[in-house]
Amino acid sequence: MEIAAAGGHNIILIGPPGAGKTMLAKRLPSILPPMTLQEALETTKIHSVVGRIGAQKGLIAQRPFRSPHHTISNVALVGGRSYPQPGEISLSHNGVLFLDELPEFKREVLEVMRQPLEDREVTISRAKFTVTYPSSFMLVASMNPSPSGYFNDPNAPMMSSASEMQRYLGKISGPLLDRIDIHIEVTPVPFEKLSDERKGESSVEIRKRVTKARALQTTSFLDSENVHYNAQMNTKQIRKYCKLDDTSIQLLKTAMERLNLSARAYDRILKVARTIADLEGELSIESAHISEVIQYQSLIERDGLGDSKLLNYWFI
Amino acid sequence: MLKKVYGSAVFGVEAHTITIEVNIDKGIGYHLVGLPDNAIKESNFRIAAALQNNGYKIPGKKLIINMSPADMRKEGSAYDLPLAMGILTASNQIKEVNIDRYVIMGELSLDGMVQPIKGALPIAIKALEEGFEGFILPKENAKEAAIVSGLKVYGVEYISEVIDYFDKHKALEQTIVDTRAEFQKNLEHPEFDFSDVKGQESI
Repeated sequence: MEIAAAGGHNIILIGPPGAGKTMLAKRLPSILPPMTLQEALETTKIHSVVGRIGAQKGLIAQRPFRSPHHTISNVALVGGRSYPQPGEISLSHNGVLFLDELPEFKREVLEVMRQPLEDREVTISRAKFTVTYPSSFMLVASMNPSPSGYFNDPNAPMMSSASEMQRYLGKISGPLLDRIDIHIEVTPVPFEKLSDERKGESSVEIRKRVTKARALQTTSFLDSENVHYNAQMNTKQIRKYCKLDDTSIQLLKTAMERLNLSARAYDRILKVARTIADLEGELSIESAHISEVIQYQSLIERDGLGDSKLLNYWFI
Repeated sequence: MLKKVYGSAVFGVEAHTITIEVNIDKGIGYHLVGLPDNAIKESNFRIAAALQNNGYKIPGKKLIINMSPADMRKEGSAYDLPLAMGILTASNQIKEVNIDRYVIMGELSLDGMVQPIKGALPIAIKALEEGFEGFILPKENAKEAAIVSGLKVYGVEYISEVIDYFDKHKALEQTIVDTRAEFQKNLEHPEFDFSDVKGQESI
């Protein structure tokens, strides 16, 4: 989560019910770096257009966290109607869009999100006019690994069949998953840890590190417009800022061959590795960073036919 | 007599200034032109009632109201207040000298209360850009518009306050927000904290 926050990467949390996916996602805005005045103005503008600012609040200075229900229509998500209004993706501009139970969303709804995810704005055209809403949001999704909620768990109350699972996972298209930089598995919490009185690290502490990493990114992207953090890097910038040493290249090569990763996945790995290096304050990407990222890749990877299959190591 | 009042229409996240021209002539009739939607067409009933309940009236003459640019669609009920002010000034029921230096927006209740609008911030930004002196809008929206410094923002609750301001020069209360202080104050104390999450340190 910390890495996602530091680089503005999209993230998907996969795990059984009750493991804490929603809880983690809800806390994400608390570790994101504070908004700049410019960002706050942009976000306030959009909320002003839909009339969602209360009389007490002048400026929205907290990053928005929107979590639409999975019955949402595509117009409500990206914006539209005959008099266009911004949708959820624009309302979460400079903040977090949380899609809980990703496979429950209508496929069509998820697909319309693809282009805004890439372009960070959405253009709605009607016969008489065209409007553009900014939509630079961080996508956080959560899902269960199977319709029953469990995967490969001997104590699970019920198990789904392989075909059921395949249908479930098939609802999420490869191109969409490809745009999500970090995939992580959330495992259930054992009783000893739940009853533990010790408190975890507070958001304020984590945020300090995240803000520091973001500051590094802002300085390196100073001369490039529209790019403020690692997730926004284009291919050229990836080549420039994510140089690898020989060990790392070797490691990445093996991983890509073994896991059958796509070219986009390659860029994705480099971007996330850059963020980890930023978090640790390193100038160059080390092989340790690469191996950490590979862990966050592709819990679900697709073969050429668009069929989804759970990655090998889940079967080991 | 012809009078001009200014309002604003929001497209996307940008506002466009709308000139509301009210012309009063001999004859009878009420004509509202310039691509208004149904909510705006209905406004004459709200305006008539709101004016009547505040001791004014729509004159029994021929009213032609044009919202320009006339080829741009206008929507919503936020033009009630500028339309009403345009009618009052054009019919000489109130004296004013500088209503054209203000952008006025707001929806009216039948008793003359001013209801909130949408898009106050983009409108305020545009008003400043185009050199307007002030922006009169519903009190509920005053804070978000007041983020724009350099523009006098007046939040009003009743149409009577706006009438008195122009007619009797009774001062309106200006809403002032120190944007930077507001920003710092709102910078937060998040309601959720990662320290509540147990056993997921690895994530």
